Amino acid sequence: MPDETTQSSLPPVAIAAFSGPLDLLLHLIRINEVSITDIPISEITEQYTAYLDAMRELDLDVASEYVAMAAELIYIKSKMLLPRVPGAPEEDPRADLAQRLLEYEKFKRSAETLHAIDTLRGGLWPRPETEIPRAEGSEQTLEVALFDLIQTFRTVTENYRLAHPPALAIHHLRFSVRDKMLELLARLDEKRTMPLLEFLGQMRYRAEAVTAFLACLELIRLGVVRAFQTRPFAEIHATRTDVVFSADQIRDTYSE
Amino acid sequence: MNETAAPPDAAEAPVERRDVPVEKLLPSLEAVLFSSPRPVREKDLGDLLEATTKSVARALEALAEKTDQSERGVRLEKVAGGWRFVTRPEFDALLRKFHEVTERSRLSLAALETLAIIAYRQPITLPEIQDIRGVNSSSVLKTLFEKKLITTAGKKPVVGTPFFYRTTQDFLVRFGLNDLAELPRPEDLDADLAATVEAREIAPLTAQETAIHISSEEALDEEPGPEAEPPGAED
Repeated sequence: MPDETTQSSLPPVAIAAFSGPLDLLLHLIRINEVSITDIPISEITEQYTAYLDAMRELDLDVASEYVAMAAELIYIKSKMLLPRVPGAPEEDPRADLAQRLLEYEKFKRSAETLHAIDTLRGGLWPRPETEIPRAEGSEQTLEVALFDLIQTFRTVTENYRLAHPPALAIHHLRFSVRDKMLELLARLDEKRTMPLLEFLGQMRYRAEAVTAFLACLELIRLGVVRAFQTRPFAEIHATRTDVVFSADQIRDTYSE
Repeated sequence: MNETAAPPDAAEAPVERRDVPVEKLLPSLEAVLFSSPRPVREKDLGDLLEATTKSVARALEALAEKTDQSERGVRLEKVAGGWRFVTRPEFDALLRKFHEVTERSRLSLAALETLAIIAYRQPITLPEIQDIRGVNSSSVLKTLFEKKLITTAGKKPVVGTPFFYRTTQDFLVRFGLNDLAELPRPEDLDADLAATVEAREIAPLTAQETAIHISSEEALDEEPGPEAEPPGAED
């Protein structure tokens, strides 16, 4: 896309609040004074994407629908560039978009009519709603819409929640070096050698991991476990040494 | 939604209705309508005053003519299948000053667009609305809901069973329509493509034209549409 044309063909219009990609397209069609059913797709696509760029520059959120429309315009443009298969029925790639634009425009104009009426009627003041005390026993029936019921239910549950704050339960997690030593020893008795991280990585809490690490250090200090690397910076493995040390000894030596 | 102020037991006991002369009916009608913030249906007025619908209609026309002709600040309007008193538009500024009101809530462009789609295509689902607008419309729908301009109307028996939406009685009142058949049609919405393209050249209704539309309520009205029937009236 040539940049100069983009800049010069971008009409000097403030980035108004368009209500959607179709609204922006209609706006471009109007200022270019072209027909909906015969959109100069190349020009319009260029201007459209220039608008999106301008929006981005102004840090406006470009909703995904706008981007999708840009993609659609480019797709139509590419389709129009392709030679038609001889004998294939003549089909305007823009027809679908034109149909949608026409439909949308109808409602946009209806909205303008509604706006005019609303502005005019906004100046009419009816008697304001007032609570009229009714005779005892006379039941006033109102039709309740589903959403009124949902709203009421929400209010009730919200009020209940506010009135009954849940009790704050703090679970104090305790981990013991003793348990972790037993755990590591059991794993090493089974596997002989294992990466240390495999063991430590299984811990779910920070305190638990620290405890497990201390347990490792303790076992290494006792010479029950040996830590080694095959080369610098390689994975650290833990392996069981020949030092005799039973689970019972751990239980006897270390308190909980 | 039954928003017309119906007497509680109007539907239960059949009332003896008589032909009542206009001059006798008119003051009581005026009193009832003066006291009601919402449009009151002719049928309910008839039940209340034990008068035939015909004589009520006659008296209402007379009352409307009376308030319309003289230099009055209030006029009678037929809206949403009923009648109510409203002030004349020229006193808006005065009333704002008196009540210390600055601006009333406006509907956004997106809200009006969505409302127009629902009004003309009801009942309609959210995906269908979004197809036409080409943009996500759920928050707009919520706004219209909160303003009680639309409501649900069952669910569409398709995958996902989306809600059907339709306009409410409040919508009719806000836009001064007696029933949905009175929806302004700047062009025939079902016109074919060519006709629509041609129609594009015609400028949209100006406020003045709209004003004419609104005040052309003196035309004789038929039976209120199904929209105006309160639920449970047949029971």
